[in-house]
Parts: sequence; C-alpha cells; structure tokens
Amino acid sequence: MARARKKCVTLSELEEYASGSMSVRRSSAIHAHLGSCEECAARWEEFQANEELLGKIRKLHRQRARKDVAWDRLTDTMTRVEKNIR
Amino acid sequence: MGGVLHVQMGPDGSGRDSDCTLDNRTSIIAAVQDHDNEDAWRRFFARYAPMIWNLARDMGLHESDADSVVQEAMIAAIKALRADSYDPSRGSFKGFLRGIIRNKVVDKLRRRYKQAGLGNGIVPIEALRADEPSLWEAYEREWERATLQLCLDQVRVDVAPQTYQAFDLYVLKEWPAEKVADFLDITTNAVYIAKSRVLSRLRTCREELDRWEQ
Repeated sequence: MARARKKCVTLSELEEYASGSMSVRRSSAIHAHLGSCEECAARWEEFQANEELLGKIRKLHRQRARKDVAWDRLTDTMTRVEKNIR
Repeated sequence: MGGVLHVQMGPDGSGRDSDCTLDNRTSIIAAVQDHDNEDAWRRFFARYAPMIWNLARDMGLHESDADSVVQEAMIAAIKALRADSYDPSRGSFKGFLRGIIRNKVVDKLRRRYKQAGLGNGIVPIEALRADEPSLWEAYEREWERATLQLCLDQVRVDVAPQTYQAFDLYVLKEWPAEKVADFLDITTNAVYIAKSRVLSRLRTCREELDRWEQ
C-alpha cells in the first residue's frame, strides 16, 4: 500500500487524478491521502459531485444544437395568455 | 433560448460568491399568486413555456398545436395558482404542472383523432398507455434541461466575467485547460478554480429550485 503523503491535494492534482492521466505511484499516494485527510476527502466528494453535473451540462450544451422553440414564437402566445389571466 | 430569466437576487442583492442568489422566499410560484405582481407571471411564463413547447413537439404535436398547449397550460396553471387550487402539501409543483400538460396533450390527441375520423375523437386507452411513459420521460428530460439552463443564466450574472469565461471555454466549448489559460492569461489552476466555483454554484442553484418545485 502506498504511503499517504502529508501535503494536501491541489485542485490541479484532483483534475489529473480524476482523468486517470497520473502515474500509478502518484495516483496511489493521492488515493492514500484522500483516505486519511478529512478535508481532502470532502473536497474530492465535492469534485465528484461537480463532475457529475458537468456531464449533464455538456450534454445539455450539445443538445442546444437541436431546434428549440424560438422566443419570438412564444411572445405571441404570451400576449394571448396575458389577455386571459386579467 | 431567448427567455433569460432574472431570478430574484439574495436579500442584500449582492450576488455574492458564497451562495446561490435564488431566493426561495420570493419564488416565481409564490409571486405569480399575487395578482398585483405584473412581472411575476411573465417570469413564470419564461420559466415554463419553452419547456412545454419543446415537450409538446417531442410528443409529436405540430407547431401550432404546441403553441395551443403552451397557451392553455399556462392559463390553467396561472389561474389554478391564483385560485389556490394548488396545494403543496398534496404534491409537488412539478407533478401538478405535469398533470396540466398531460391533459392538454391528451386534448390535442383527441382532436387529432376526431379530425382523422377515428373513434369520434375518443382516444383509445391503448394509445394513451403507449403515450404516457414517453410523455413522462420527455417531461423529466425537458425539466432537467430547463432547470440547468435557468441556473446557467443565473450563475453567469453572479460570478466575475472572467470566471464565467474560463468556465465557458473549458466546460462548454471543451477547450483544453492549457489553451484556456493561455487565451485568458491566467494559470491552469485558475481555470480549474473557475470551473469548480461555477459548478458548485450551479449545484446550489439547482438544489434551491428543486426545493421549490419538487
């Protein structure tokens, strides 16, 4: 088992760790540190929650290319709604 | 989508960096119940109408039918809210709105059957059953899209311009972090910090919206 390093993990390192591009030795050291440092473990948890949302946002952004309703089209409908709710 | 919403700022109106500025005490839903609040129903419309239109189109309705579904669903929802017909203790607003949209879509299907001379406009139960799961699935998808879009619009005005620009280039445009850093003349770590800051705020905003509407 890798020895847990004492220094806390930076955001750049978490990015590298999550991407899998880190060497096995460094990755193991970070893994061990995350298991022993509450602060970094919490940061890692937040990082993972953010990554999950990031996946959804990228998907949403790619879907924007599809034909959504044009706002101009809805302004006429909005006017009709206004007349009906007054 | 052209309907950018300017949701209520926090109590101090500061748009501060530490938490979400969506204020659940003055949610769109509560505000629309106030007849004298001229701006509220427009914000309500901007929040839900595009989602309903896209959903109606996903369900196979023509554009003109989608327009009608938006109009009828919005009028029904606003009137119900103003008449206190929606009781949060009996279910979520999300479910309440879904019921209204479902009825309007079924009305359109009925008319389509009638125009086609099928079953005197009575939609066969088999057709409804086949339609319902895809309606709910599409509703969830559109709801998620609308929620994330609203939060993105909100966070864009809350954070520093360069923070959002770094997020936009790195996350949305999917540039490599190093290229973003070079372009904005900042460190790669600053790009990661911008990404983390915006995503954390987006999560907070989303949780706030979920609290109102789920």
